Amino acid sequence: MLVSQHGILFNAASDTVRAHRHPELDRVLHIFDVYWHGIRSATACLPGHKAAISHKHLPDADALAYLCAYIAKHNISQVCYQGFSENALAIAKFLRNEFGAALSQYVITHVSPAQFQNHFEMVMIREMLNGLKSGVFQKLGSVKPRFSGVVPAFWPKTLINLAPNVGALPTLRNPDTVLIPVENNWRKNLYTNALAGIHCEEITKVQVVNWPIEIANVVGVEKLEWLPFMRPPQILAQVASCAAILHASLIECQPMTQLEGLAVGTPCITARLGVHAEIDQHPLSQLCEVEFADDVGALSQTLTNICRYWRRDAAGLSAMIEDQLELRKHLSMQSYLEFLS
Amino acid sequence: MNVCFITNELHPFKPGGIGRLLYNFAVQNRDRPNGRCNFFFLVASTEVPDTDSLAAYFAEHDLGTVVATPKNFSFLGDYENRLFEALPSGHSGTGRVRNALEYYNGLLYLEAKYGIKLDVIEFPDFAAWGFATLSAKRAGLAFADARIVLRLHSTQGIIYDAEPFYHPMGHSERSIIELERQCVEQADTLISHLPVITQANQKYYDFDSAWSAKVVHEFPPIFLEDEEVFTVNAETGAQNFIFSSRIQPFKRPDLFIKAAAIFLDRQPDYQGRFYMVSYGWDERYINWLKGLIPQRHSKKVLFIFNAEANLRNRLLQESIVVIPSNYESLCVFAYESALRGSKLILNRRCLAFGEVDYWVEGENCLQFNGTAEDLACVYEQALAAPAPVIKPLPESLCFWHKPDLPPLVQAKAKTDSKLAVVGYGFSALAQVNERLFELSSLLDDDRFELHLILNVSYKQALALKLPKTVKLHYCAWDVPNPDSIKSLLNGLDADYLAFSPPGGQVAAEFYTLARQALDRHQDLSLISSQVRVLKEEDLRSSLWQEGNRDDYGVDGNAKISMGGAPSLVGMDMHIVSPYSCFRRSEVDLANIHEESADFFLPLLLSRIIAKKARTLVIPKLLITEYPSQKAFLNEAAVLHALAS
Repeated sequence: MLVSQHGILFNAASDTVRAHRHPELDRVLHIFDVYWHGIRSATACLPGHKAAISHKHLPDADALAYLCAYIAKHNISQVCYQGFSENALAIAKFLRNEFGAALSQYVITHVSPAQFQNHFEMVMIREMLNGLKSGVFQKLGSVKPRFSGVVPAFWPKTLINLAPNVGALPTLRNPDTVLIPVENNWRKNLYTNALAGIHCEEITKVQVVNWPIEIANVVGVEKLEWLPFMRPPQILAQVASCAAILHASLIECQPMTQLEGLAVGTPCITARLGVHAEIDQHPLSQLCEVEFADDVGALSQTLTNICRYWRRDAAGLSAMIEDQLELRKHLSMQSYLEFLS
Repeated sequence: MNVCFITNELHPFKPGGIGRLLYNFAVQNRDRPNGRCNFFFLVASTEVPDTDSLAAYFAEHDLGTVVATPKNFSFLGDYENRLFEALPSGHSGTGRVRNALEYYNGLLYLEAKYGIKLDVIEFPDFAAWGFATLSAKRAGLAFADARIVLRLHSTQGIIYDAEPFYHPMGHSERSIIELERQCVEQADTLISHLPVITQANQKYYDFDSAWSAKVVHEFPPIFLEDEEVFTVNAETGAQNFIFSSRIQPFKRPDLFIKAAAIFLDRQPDYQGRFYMVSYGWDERYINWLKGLIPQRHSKKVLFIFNAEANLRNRLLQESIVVIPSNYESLCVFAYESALRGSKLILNRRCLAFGEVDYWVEGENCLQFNGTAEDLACVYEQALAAPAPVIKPLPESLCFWHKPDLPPLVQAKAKTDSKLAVVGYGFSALAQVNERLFELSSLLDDDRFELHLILNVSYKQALALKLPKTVKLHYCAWDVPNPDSIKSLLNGLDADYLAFSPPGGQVAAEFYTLARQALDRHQDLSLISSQVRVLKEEDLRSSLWQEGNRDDYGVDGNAKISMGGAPSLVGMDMHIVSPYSCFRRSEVDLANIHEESADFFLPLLLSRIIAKKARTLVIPKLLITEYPSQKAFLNEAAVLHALAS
């Protein structure tokens, strides 16, 4: 089943098997784009029905009719658009016409204003606002903390992302390996992360999915190992195999890389994210967050601390991660319930 | 009681003895004053084009419900639907399994459509049509309370044995024979019409007494309908001879023609005709038969293909019926001819004629010794012979009408068995974790053990939340040499074993089903499943992101296993998947050869199969295999070693 063949893809395994459950939120339908991987990964963890669409092709009449039948069959009264496109807007207008006030529709943006350099994002914000004004949507929300400061019409609180729900998995972990699963671009800060890993004396292997080209000019690359393409199950297994993820990027909302790591018991080093006060104050955040995203020394020291923690008290570190996962789950469910109320 | 027959022929729409018998069953069932069964006939939509007419006819005559198999495999699962649909049909082991899957899917469809559970599912022994349905039942997937019956007609294997010079014994032929053998061996109940045919099957397949205990003997209903009853004109004018079996080598139409030529050379003034009123599909064979007719006799030995019933009946009325078959399991046509009072010439060497009390030479038939020369002599005798005695047929009471069905053999299931999966060949710790994650749902069960053989360099890895069912072993390499696997196996106390090498993955469901099947069926030794195969380019497809991202976006292909097929050992390295599960007692450690390197596993499994291990192939795609890594050993050399 491919979205290019069927227009809309309902409840694909990768969008449902790692989802959390909640008696009320299980009745929500989330509509998202198959190609926008981070947003799709975040949506895959949420409770509820899942319908993947494509910004490349508008679903045909048959697919839209099936969508209506699906909504009716499952008594769905709330639809969340995770991320937004012209096709998502067209579907939202169609559903508004079909169901009228019986269906409440919401948009959740996953964008940071730093990404407005891509003008498409601002065009979409404008369409969301138009939709809100015309009654197509009931509410606009964001996973970017403090986004209402960017556009005041957005819900003032933050919708909290969930980590994949994989349960307590048995794992073998290399306490001397760090993973840097980021693209080689300015925003993702690959070179800083790679240098922090290479400089960390506790680390013997720095795994990257994109090679920091020319980095050999400033540092030896003996520790670097390039990993080929992976799909979600392989990513989780890879993430579970290392001491930590290095993911200090310059701009983030709530990176799924971090949450996927936590789901399999791997801490993720980030710059300060400021997602929620309770998360900020959690001991794991204190352990893993650095003040400045380009502070190689601080990142390297944080990595050293984590490696030593593993060797000193692996069970304690695992318990700390599980505790934050529980906190995030609680905060996430609470945020969605409040947003959709 | 709901009874379903699986068929591709049904009287009066298609010729053939099986189709006629099924029709007779339906008439017998309809005409019973009480205790009628609900009869269903599942026909292959790919082979029977006009199923609507067939269904209408059977409904109109209150004979039962004809159901066509669906055109897709949607009752078997998403991937199964698409990949089984793409399997080639036709004369090969894979083609036969495709048919078997079509019937299995059709039975699920039938049960769903009519909201019933079938009590009896009857397959003919021919073509292994029951392979998937029997496997599904034994795997616990479906038909838990149904009795799966095979009726002994004539397997392809028995036919090949009766016509030994016509078939190359290649992979396809061996596969078909092996598939059929497994069906005949593993059916719940076998119905045989003649004890001598039961014995012939037992001897041919080398079955033990436990098999013969499953056989029920009963004589089927054979009768003539009004339009088929006519007086045979034995006294008027010249008598003809007629061959009206199917044109197929073991039916020996060649003897009919050869004897005709000998007879006509001796009796040049004979005014009668030799009619071949028949049908067939092998043009080369038919042309060869035509070539046997000397030009001088071409006006007296005549072929009439696909004759209308009226013409065939008229010719039967005026002719001596000749049935020269090497083999028949019963031959309804012979009994119909006897009921009609036809003069009948039978091959004495055919067990169903020469070894059956009903046929008394000189009383209700004449017989010849299997040669054309003797048949020509019997042609002469037949012309002068008096009209035969019409003997009543044995009483027919089919098992579904009996008050008590024969009991099913059901062994008490084990409940404390232990399955050990041995994973090896990991070139990265992430691959180990991938296996752990895949099988995590099984790891809390004390009856399951996962043994991981790891490179010693991973000894420093932190083991987190590892349950006691996971055991770590270390060796000097990623891929352990066969001797170290041998010593590991030596120390295992598990009842069942499976290996988990690189190059594929197995759904946790497979191990659950495999253990349950081995627990329930003590006769089974090896459990596999059908396999989804992804080529290297499939793994690289960019379509993965358009669908289920845990998968590849492309389907790949289904690789079909023939199950326990000892005659394929030495021809095929992949008779079953290397991920198959088997009884610990089947492993002969001597078969793990130190020098077999990466081939140790296919060697081990092939040798288990060579010992005739009963095998269950679960009719689902629970195992996925990727392109195998290049081994430095020569595959042809390994196959040669296996065959020797």
